[in-house]
Amino acid sequence: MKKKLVSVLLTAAMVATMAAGCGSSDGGSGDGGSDEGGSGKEMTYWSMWNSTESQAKVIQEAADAYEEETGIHINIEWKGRDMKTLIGTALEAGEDIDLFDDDYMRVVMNTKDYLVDLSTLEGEEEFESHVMPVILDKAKSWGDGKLYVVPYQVYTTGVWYNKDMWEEAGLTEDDKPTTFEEFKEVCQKIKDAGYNPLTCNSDSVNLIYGFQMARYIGQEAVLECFNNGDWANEPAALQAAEDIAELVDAGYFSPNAPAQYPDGQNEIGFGESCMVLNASWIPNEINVNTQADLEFGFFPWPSVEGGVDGAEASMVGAQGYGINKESDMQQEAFDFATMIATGDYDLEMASSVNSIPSDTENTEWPAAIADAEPYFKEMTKAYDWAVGLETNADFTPIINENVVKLIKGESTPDEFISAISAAQ
Amino acid sequence: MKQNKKMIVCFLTPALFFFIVMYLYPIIRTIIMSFFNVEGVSDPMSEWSFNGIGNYQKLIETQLFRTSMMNMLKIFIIGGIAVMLIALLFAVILTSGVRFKAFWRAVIYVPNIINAVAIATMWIQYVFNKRFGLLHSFFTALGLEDLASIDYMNGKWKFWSLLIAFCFGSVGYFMLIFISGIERIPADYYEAATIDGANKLKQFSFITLPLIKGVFKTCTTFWTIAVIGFFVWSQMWASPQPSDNATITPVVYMYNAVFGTTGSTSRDAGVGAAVGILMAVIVLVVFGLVNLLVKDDDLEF
Amino acid sequence: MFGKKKDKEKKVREPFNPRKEAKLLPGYIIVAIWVFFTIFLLLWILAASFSTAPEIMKGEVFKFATGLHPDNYIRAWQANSISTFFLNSLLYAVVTMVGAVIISAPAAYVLSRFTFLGNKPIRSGFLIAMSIPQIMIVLPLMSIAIQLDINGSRGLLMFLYIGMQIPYTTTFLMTFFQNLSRTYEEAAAIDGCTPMMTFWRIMFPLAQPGIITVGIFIFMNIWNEYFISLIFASSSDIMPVGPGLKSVLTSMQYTGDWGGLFAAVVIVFLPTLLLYIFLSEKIISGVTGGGIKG
Repeated sequence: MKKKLVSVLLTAAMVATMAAGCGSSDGGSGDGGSDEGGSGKEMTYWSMWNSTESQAKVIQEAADAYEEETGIHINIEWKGRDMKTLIGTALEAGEDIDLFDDDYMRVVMNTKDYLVDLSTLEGEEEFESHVMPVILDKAKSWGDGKLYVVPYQVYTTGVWYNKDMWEEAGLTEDDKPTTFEEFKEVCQKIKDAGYNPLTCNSDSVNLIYGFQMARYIGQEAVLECFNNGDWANEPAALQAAEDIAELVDAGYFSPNAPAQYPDGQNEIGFGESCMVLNASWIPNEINVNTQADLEFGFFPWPSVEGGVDGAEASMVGAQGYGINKESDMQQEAFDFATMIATGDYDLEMASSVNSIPSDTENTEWPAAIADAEPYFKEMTKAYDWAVGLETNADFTPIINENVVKLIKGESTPDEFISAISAAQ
Repeated sequence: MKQNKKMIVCFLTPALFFFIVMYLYPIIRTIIMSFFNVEGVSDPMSEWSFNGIGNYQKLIETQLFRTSMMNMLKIFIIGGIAVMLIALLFAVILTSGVRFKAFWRAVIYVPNIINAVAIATMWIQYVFNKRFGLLHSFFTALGLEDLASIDYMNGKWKFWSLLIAFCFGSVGYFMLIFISGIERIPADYYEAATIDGANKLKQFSFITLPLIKGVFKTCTTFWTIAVIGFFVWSQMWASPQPSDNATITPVVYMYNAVFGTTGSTSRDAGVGAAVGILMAVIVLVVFGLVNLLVKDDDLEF
Repeated sequence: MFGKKKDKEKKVREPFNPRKEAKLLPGYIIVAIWVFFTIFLLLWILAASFSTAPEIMKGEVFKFATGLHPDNYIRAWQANSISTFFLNSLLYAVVTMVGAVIISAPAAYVLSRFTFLGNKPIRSGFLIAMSIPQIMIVLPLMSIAIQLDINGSRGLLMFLYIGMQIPYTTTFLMTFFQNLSRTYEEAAAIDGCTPMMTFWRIMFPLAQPGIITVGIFIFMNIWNEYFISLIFASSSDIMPVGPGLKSVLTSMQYTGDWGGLFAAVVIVFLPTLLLYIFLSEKIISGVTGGGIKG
């Protein structure tokens, strides 16, 4: 019995060693089997999408077309949202990556040391003219005046709601709230209709707090408070927390909120909750994820009494491509990235995932998010993601946890302020 | 004799080569690195700048790192006591002459042989799930609405759900060690005690416990190593974010600091190295304390 | 070994004794609850992996109202390259097992058999290496790998895995060689065998029980490994099941494919679970009878 086992193990070992010999010889340059014909050139692209998502389908289509045209095969690794935990390590380790994508702010801020300055590449100027000015300015400001990222799939942020539920609660287009007071009235009506007015995911609660605080004092002042840890001396910090607590006490949040991503947002798809504050990819995500077929309405986060910002200020952003400066196919990677970010593929992306077209020449918005278009056009102030509350790795998890506790009703606004002041 | 010498050299060289490349050199380099300002892991030594104890100072001043140390300490102490007590209880039960001992023992050990990602997923996606989770349905069935509506994955419960799941998986391993310790106690000790009229509880506290003191030492050692390297569970509980205040541990902090994966520009390999050194020092201190407290002359399983 | 023998004796001599069993009842109950929970958990995951997302959401996985859905497995296996992760892990585990044993066994043999200058320091070196946290060593290892430009290859990962198992394997095997009688070597020497040949032909096969036990352990360690591969193998074609499963989970959770998610979990834990079901005695005696002393 034992002898048999050992011989089996040994045979397995022999086979494995041989396989290993073959495996490691081509380990460095990706899998060699898939490049048949063409120029034999290959490019490796790590994607933030999952292979089953609609974005992935558009990107795959573009990659096939690109190969057809240039003979360059693109190896796409669908990493999904794990990208943000993986990419830093991978670039540091010198993984064989030519191109990758992630939130455009993270791409520039976290990884620009590894990226190529796009102005060294051909066609960069032409591309800049296709990028929305607000996005371009932001990207350049993080890159110390240089462009390191090819932005695509632009998003805006605000409150998305289920239109049917909204109507059921006796609300109309004209009831879209512009002030916090009106917002609370809307919440009450939805609650009276038997639904949870608001839901949220635990990983994006900073949006709510950030938005509310910025409505009082604007992003500049929020960031100043954030960078100096001056929470206790900033009345707006406490006021924003009290406002959120007011929503909580009135029972406007779903009892499950904030829930694990994506359970929170899915409550809308399951017909339990009505509104969520999030970016413009939300309608598509919810419908795909829950197989619902909802129509979404939109309004910007309301303004507050005595505040400086209103509907004209919103978080906008994009996903973005970064190109590895170690890559020997920088130009090719850039060409492919711009192919997706502009022209037909941009349009196709916008229509298949219901996102905002990022090419300034593509002006047609998909119907699912069209409700946000007029507001987007009138927007004059661009906030960063979470109004900048996620720009400090040592502090983001702390503020995040405390906002979660605030919304769960586990801490009071005063406790909230003292918890985050103590942390900085 | 000469042949023996040749053999010693030939047989030891490969193992020593691995030892030097994978342990000796890295340990020395990490120690040095922790006193320097180093941005990227692969930066050559010429780009390092001396920083004294700056990296350590920075760590101690960072609230998030302090939180991660606190989390680790809570896992070490609360989790440690819970795991040891449950493991000891099971070991005593299983050595008391129950039937199907091999079966019970095998099942209790099962979590240890399953990939931690898979086990953690079972807990997160099933046991603690708010919609269809085991605890949720269990309490709903009992009509305990308050308990059924607890969200184990967010807010104040998050850390405890992590701790429970982790401890559940650890019990089996320590139980095995306790069992083997108890089985090494000669049976006549108990027979003599029974004749003298000592009951089970007395036998346990006057024979079993003193004689397995050494086993506690072994267990503390293994528990320390397991808790210091606490990483995958913490990452699973924080997912989809890279880290989370309630469950962050020093290793997770170090991973994020070195590879700059969380919305911040600063990559800091020097600080990462300092975290490594601190963890190693903690291990040494715990081992030293344990050796001091538990004398070596006892049975060591 | 010792424990096993005692078990058998007990089984033979003990008929069912109601009074004694009644005394043990509380013990039975405590253990049974724990064991039941564990088994139920695994069964539920198994059932869920054959169900659909709506059934899982409703908490009705044991009803199989729409029949079995083995296509969950096909989806998990193909669409998200679990197959690649699976084969990678298999390769890493087997190579590490063989590599670590072949390198450690000779070292363990000479360390346990001969006294020479440096014997003690080497032993304690291995003990320290076993207790050092991994984060102490990963940063320099990574920088070496980057300088040699061998990062992101299967070879590097296997090298690291083997190196990481050597201190434990050597220490473990030392006790086995210690317990072997010296008469074997003496007899071999009379027959004209050189010491090295003696080791490979006679001593190594004699240590077989220990080698098998430690081999299974290494296999499981590597199969369940996470931290090192997360850092050194982030590209999908060389990723093992640990980080691979995590990425699949994020994606399946995102797309609401709960059936596929649990199928992926089952695919990952089944190999070690099966191995365990067949070899549990061996594994358990390995944990307790091992040569690891703190």
